[in-house]
Amino acid sequence: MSQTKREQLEQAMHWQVRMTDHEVSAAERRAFFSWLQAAPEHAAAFEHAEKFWQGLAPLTEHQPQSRPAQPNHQPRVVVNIRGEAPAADAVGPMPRHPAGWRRFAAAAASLAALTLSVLLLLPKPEPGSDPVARTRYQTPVGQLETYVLTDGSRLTLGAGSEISVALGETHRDALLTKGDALFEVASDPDRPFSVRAGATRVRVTGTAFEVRYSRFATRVAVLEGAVDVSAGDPISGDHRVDALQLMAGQGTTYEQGVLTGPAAVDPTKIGAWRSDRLVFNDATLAEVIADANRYDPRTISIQGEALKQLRVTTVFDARDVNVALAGLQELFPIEVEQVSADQLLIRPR
Amino acid sequence: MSSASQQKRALRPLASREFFYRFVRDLRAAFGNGPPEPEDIAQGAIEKLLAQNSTDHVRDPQGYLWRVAQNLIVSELRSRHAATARESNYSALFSATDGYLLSPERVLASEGQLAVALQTLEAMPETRRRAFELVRVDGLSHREAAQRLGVSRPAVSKQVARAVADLYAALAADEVGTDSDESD
Repeated sequence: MSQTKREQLEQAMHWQVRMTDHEVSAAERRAFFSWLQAAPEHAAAFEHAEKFWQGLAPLTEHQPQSRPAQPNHQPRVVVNIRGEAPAADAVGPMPRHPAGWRRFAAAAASLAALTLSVLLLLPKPEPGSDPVARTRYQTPVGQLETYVLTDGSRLTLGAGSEISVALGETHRDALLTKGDALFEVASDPDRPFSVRAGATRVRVTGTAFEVRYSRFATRVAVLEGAVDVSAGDPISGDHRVDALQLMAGQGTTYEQGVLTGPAAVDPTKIGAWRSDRLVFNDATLAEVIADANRYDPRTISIQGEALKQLRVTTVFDARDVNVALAGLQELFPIEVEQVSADQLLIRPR
Repeated sequence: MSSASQQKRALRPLASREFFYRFVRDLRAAFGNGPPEPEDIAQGAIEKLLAQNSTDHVRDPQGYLWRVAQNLIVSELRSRHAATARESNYSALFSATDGYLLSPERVLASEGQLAVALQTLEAMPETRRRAFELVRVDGLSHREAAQRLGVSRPAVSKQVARAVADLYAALAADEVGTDSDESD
């Protein structure tokens, strides 16, 4: 074992012991995570230290001197997340924006966790319906596509977006896992069409509407007809929590667990992303940049929580993110630093 | 009402949306935006907590969640790095023990190893041994152990980490000795 490796292991043991304490401050957690990310070997060192700590469990039954059990004595919780080592191909090269929970689960989580998350992500089939094959659509960074579905509905998918669609006998549903989508739903009152994005669900029979989804917010706006939008509990998938109806020219936003609206939306701005125009009305900078990242091949990140929460109202051309960033620099106390050829950092000025 | 189901009920607030988003916010404040993304980590950790059959963690559900979240992050970062390393033909570094001296899953599997560990503990300075026992064996928090021992909280953390490193060194030395003695 090399000197470096030994030093890393000792640091890992220090952090492992600290982070297993019952009382850990927020500052310590930050310090721990920055150590963890400081070198790629640190995660392996920490995992080794954690396993060693767990491996010391037999000592709890072989105490050097027997001591009376204390009233508040509780055995330490055994935390062992890796159910099985992932198959080599399950880990493969990661995309620039990892595609969320399922990929992650394959690499890291236990079977129990996985079962529950599938329930969360896949819409529950309506009673009496058959399971239907899901078709997956995915657009690359900077490119959008329009698809005509077998029921005659049209789906326009924004840049760097992902959706899966199942067209069943009794219902049709789509699951937007990333980005923007505009639906022109072929009318069929016997087969309601529902769209889920994160914790939000939209149900329609025939209408045109858009859903814009990032992990910071979900926005729904209606061009024609009417839709019902509900926000569910991300844990239980229960959709009774909030619900509202949107008419043409109305929109709603789901952010930080709250569904707001209906609010009037400029119909000319609904689906404006189809012509590469990104419209933001009182969005966080984090959401704006998440969208910009779906168009720009570089990775743009934001320094500091305060800046991420900055509220922004802006319109920009997604084909030229540089102009958009220059505009943001004019309006807000921020500066953009070119960290490397493919990395930009937005930070306070 | 059995106490197990009472304990399960006590965990229910952890499944609320408000809790989920608060935990995501705290994770993001501590860890940043990932990858892995804080939403995925929070969801994984809460599911893990709710799926627990044992209710040992009820004493400190928040701490438990953080530990699960940390380990999920570590595990994810580690498998990414391992994948990268494999692609770059550094596979020698990532053998079964990752280049470390011990295979920690079976570190105290034999009577001999247990004896080495107990001897090592006996040979430690008193404060170090007591700190390790109070924290690792009795499950006290570092602050509680510090009060018992009349030292500062950081001193306890440091001594426990030293004790772990001492045990590792002793067991690794023993492993190397055993390997050269036995042909198996």
